[in-house]
Amino acid sequence: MPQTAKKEETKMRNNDKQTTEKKQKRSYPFYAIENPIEHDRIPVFIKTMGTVLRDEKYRLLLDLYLNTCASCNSCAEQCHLYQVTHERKDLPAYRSNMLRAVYRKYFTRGGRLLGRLVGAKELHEEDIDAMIESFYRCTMCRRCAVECPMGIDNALLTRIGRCILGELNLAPKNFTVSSAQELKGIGNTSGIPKEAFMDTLDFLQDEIKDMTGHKVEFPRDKVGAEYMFIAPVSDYIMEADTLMGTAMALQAAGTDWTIGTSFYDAINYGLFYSDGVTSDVLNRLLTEAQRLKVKKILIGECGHATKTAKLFMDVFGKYRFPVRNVMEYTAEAVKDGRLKLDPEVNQETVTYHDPCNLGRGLGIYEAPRAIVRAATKHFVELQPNRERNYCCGGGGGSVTVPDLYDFRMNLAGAKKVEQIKSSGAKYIAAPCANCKKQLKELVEYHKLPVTVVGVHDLLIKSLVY
Amino acid sequence: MNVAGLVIGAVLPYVAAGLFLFSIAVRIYRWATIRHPLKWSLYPIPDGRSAQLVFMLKEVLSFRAVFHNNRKLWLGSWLFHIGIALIALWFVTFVSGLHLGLALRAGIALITLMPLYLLSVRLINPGLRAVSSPIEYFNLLIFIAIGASGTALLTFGKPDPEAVRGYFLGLLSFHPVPLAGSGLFLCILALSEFFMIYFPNSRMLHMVSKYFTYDKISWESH
Repeated sequence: MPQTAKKEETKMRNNDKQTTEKKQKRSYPFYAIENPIEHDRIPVFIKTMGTVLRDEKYRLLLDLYLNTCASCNSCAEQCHLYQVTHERKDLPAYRSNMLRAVYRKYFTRGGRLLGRLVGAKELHEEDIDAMIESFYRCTMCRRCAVECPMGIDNALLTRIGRCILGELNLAPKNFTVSSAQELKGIGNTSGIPKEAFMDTLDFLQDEIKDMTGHKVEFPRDKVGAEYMFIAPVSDYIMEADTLMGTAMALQAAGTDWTIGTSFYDAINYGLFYSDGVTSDVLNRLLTEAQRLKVKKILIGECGHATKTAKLFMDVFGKYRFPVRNVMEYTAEAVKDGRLKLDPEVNQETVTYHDPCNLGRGLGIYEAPRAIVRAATKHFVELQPNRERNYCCGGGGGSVTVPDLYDFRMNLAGAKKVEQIKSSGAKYIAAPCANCKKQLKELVEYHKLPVTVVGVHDLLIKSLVY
Repeated sequence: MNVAGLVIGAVLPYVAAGLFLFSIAVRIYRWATIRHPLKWSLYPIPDGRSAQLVFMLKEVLSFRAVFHNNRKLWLGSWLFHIGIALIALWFVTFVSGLHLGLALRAGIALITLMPLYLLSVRLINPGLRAVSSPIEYFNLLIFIAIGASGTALLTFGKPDPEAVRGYFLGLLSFHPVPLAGSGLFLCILALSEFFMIYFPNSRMLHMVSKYFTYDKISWESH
């Protein structure tokens, strides 16, 4: 490992020498980036970092996270990626040290004075390139944070690192293009026009009628409803079963709900690379809720969407609404008897994958389990599970980056594959759109004998009227 | 020797202790008064105040996370901190009139040998080496130096406990008495003074920072 590390370092240095010598346009081998800044990357990086360090919401945690790491590598033992690659750049503390080096060098007296002795390092072009790679290899799953004796969250440092790079336009093209489409373009990340969206809802209604014989409605633009329901727009295309199950559950539980048709995408890629985008998308969502004068916001099964709304509403939100994840709602309805489920119809063994954003991020561990247990006959846990569950390998938005496909299949997802194999389950229920996509790809790539479903998918068959 | 004795024995103790307390207080005050930090919750959050305190106490007393992740590192760091605790215990009881010689000897042995052991663990394990800057080794070396001079003093200097107690009591009652005797004792004092000034500006302040990372960031629910 030390030799590999050394080799890596020389390789990186040589690469950089070549680029500067030829004065050619910088190329980013990790993933496609649109309009990256080519000049003054170093001063802009340092200036942006200064702004972040002074930011009220980050000041405390950065002071703590950047100054008190005991370098014990407990995080490395927990990292699904480092445990597979054993590469230096995948050590959570090593990655965070990339930011610490800049912080110490440019923002602390000790670092300016003592330099490398205290881990301070002058920022070079190749350091920025190394960060672009490393910060997107981390899937921000926070499994390491659970085990940090100092309470440091390396995933949050990854996010902050990505946000700084984002200010230099150094973010995967798939994030920036989709976010632009959501904010300035057609109004959602998949580019689905309102008419097509309405058609999809009608189609789903018909599907439910065909499949179950029941008439279930997707109510739209109902002003004054109790809940505004919003899911990642991609779910309407890729996860029809989840949405059908959700609508059936909401109707059967007697919910007063509606879908807004002016803004109908809960995806917020800002969580993965930019505070500005986080804030703008969140406010579009809140504005839609305000327009419909609803009392609460109900977010689809998706984890990152729920977390972004809950976490950042206090910080960025123009309006305040209570936010719930639909699984919390359904689990409650199952518990208080408004929903009756028949487990006999789902006889196969089912397991549940805890998405990072729902589990470690929001503490939604038991609600999905309550639904799955009520809807199926044989439930098994993945080992480990809950706060120790492994990331699907596509977290932190990396699942949307095609260039990271091989990385996700062979490295980031390797632990997950082992875990699924040893569970013996025939079905794996995963609520997050992000996790679902990654798991489906893993199943196909590794030819696993498992079917990936959402949690509400299980209700289509098991709901008793 | 006299000048050194005066500076190290009578002036610097106050400067070091003053800076030690002041710098820690300033940092805690700064952490405690930052308003509206991002609530970046991490579940499970122990349910209720008492469960949270129990969690912290368990972590502080047993080093649970390190135990879980690296047994070799845990053994060294846990015993090392026990050594520090033993010396603190000795000091408090010593100035109150007792002399727990065994606690002192065990404490000194632990703060000498464990950092040596930790140093080797850190150097041998490639992952640990990759995340360690020279300051990590330096922190351990300070303890090794203090421990080694302590061992030498106890073995060769054979200081008179009453004279040493008199010296500490003099310091504590703000009537410093001149320090009779060995250069070794001065050496330990000087190292400890350096440590006290250095400590609040180092990452070793994690004994306090932990409370804030848990309580003000990870355990803020929504």
